[in-house]
Amino acid sequence: MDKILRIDMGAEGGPKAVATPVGEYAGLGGRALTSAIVSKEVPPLCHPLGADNKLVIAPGLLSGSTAAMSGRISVGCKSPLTGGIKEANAGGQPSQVLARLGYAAIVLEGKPKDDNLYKIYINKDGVKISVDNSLRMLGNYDLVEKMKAEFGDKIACMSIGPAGEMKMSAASVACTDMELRPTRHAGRGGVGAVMGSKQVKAIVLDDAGMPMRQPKDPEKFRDATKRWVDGLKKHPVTGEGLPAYGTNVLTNVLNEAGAYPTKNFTWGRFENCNKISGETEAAVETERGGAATHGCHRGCVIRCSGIYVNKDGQYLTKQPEYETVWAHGGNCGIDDLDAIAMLDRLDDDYGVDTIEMGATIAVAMEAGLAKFGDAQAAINLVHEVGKGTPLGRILGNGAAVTGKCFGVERVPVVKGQAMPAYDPRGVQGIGVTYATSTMGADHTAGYAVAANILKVGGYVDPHGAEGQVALSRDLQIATAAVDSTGMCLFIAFAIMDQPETFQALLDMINAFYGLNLTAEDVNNLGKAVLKNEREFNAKAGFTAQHDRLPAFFKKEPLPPHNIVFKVPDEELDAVFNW
Amino acid sequence: MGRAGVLLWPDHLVVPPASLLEAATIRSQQSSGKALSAPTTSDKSDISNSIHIRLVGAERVGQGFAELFQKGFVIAIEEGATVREVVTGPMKVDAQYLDGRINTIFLNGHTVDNVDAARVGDGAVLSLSAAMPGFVGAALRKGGFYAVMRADITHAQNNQYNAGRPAQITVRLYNMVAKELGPLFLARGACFRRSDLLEFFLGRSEIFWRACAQIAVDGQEVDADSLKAALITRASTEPLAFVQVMTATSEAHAR
Repeated sequence: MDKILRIDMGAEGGPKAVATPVGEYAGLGGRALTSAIVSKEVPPLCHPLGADNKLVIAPGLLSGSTAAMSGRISVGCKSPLTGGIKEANAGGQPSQVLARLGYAAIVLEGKPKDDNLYKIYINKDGVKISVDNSLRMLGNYDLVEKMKAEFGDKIACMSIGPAGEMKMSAASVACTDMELRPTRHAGRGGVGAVMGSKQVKAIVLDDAGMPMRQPKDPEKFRDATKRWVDGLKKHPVTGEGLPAYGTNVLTNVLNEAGAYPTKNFTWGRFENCNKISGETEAAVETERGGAATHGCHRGCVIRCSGIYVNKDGQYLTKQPEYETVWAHGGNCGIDDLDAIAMLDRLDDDYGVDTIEMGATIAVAMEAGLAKFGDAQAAINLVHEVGKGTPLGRILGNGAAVTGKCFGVERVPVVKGQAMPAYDPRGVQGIGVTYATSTMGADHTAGYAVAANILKVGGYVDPHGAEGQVALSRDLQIATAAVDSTGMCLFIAFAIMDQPETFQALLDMINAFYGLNLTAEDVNNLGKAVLKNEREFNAKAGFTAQHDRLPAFFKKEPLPPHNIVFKVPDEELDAVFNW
Repeated sequence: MGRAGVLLWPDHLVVPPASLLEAATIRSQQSSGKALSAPTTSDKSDISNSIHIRLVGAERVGQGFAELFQKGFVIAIEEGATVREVVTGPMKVDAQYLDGRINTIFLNGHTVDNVDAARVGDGAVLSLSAAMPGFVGAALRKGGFYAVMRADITHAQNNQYNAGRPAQITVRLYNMVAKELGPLFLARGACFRRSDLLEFFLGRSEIFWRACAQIAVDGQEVDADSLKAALITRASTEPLAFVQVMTATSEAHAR
């Protein structure tokens, strides 16, 4: 991974690819690399869909090696949804394959001067960029079938569906999984629209003939990897709960807590949540002959995903995750798991972010376009998006646009991005992260709960005066660091509770690169990433006023606990004081 | 405060996960023979009017009940007992399991940090879960580092109780806790709300019913349709239904 593949889509005579040395970006991976390139090379005031924006695709530091859980890929750009910097990441196979091909990143630059649609094929021999207008408006599933027919079944694909081609702000970049299905999505922030603006339909990665990436110190790496995997397997969350039920295991507990946003954030509990919980989902999958435990990429040992089959036992989609089940389920008043799975399939096929789409449909329901609980109406609305009807164009641009178009006041967004599945009135700490994250409302921004282990810059007393502000700060720093390794965020639990597992992660990176990274170095990496992102956003016009939750969270008490969001603005403004 | 006891319910309703909990204290045993008969109990006065259902079958029959445990089952306690007293008393779950495995607890929708301080009143809903993923999952853990971030929903002991008065509560089991404790409660028998049970049975597929080798209502062998009909017919007089499920796993636990 010592080179960056730069593809100028607007070059004279047609798109041109050049591999350049990694240079000043050496040692960076994942989010650290995408944010460094975007903040340095993209004009903050550029139009997100214009030639000046860049789409940066970066595997993690250990991707392509035998390190378990190293298969996340980061996609960065200026976001058409938020107007700020964006990093969205996904699982699947592309990260491992791209890393084995030797690229630290692919950067799509410029914009074609024609209106052709392109596909890009990358293998050990080089890069081939070709016009292929036969792919126009194909769903991701059909597209991948065509790529398979052309390039064989040993490839990995990154692609956009019709939503990306139509440059909708909710559009995602799809990544294929182990079965070569487009089920893993860099979903947030409209990264698919930026790929669409570059007129790139698919990037096909083929690592045939390329070896696994080798560590500098194989002995130490092997030892650290063993400790790493042992640590993940012995932890109750990563070794038992997630494999058995997936992330949707959260539905029941969030509902119990009264923090499960229901019917467009009007309630904190959904009466029929047991019908769509992870426990029920796993039981349905198992009974029908699907799978309740499945990895999204090779080398995953947590295996929090699954295979969802319909009543006839036929594949429908991957196991919908917690955020998806919530967004299309409780948030829309829908308790039909099969309908939710169908919505997930359609989102993946049209290429839209499931969180943004679910939140958007709930806003549309509040506007009266459909009734809460009407699953067929929700499915019809997603079809509108896929077809690109006038209504679909509005919905496909997200909850904020939809709320504006239909005069809805209760629109749960921060910086234009829809809120995920945790009501900040119930769990106020996550509201701090939603409000202040550089990414817009993002539950994963403060996810890496390793802050108390890092203990860098002083131990945070969770009950101290700074309380949740200090915790949110440390969580965001830790998350930025984990995102930069390319590791799946779910490792956070094992490294939070088991210091020896955190050490194993550091030892793996050190053995691979011949480094001597400490916890403090990791912490500083996280800080540097956030600093880059904050500076970009400031230059793009963001102020403290953008680090706020919508007013209704402070005014409307959330049943059943009837509480409002109470963290004062001045505390939110202190999150990034370090 | 006296320890919560099994006042109204037969011992076979509450069991420790013997094979899972190394230090479990099994305080009661009930015959788990294969004969299709209503469970024999030393005291079933409070459920004497309940319909008694017994299923014998393959593992998937018991596994299917995970959905029902999310709705909850009913147990008897002494009002004012602490969460620890309820879990280790009438539920007969080992303290080690409570402290080590049940990481997330809700009492009437409020997160519980101290199982020795939170007291349980009549009509309460007590929900038990293993450790959860995500930042919010970590924040909801009992006594967790991030508890301050959900302080507004944390359980506060404000109510006064008539200590020792007989009371009924609903217990919900989630995720790994349902998987591990569920078969044991089913083997010894558990009381579900009849309406929940009917909805559950109506939602079962043919696969579930094919896995049931024997079905009995009040000791009489019946088919699936008759079971559902019995639950409908006796709706007005019997709000609870007593269910015992015997599978290879649950029989092993029961032994």
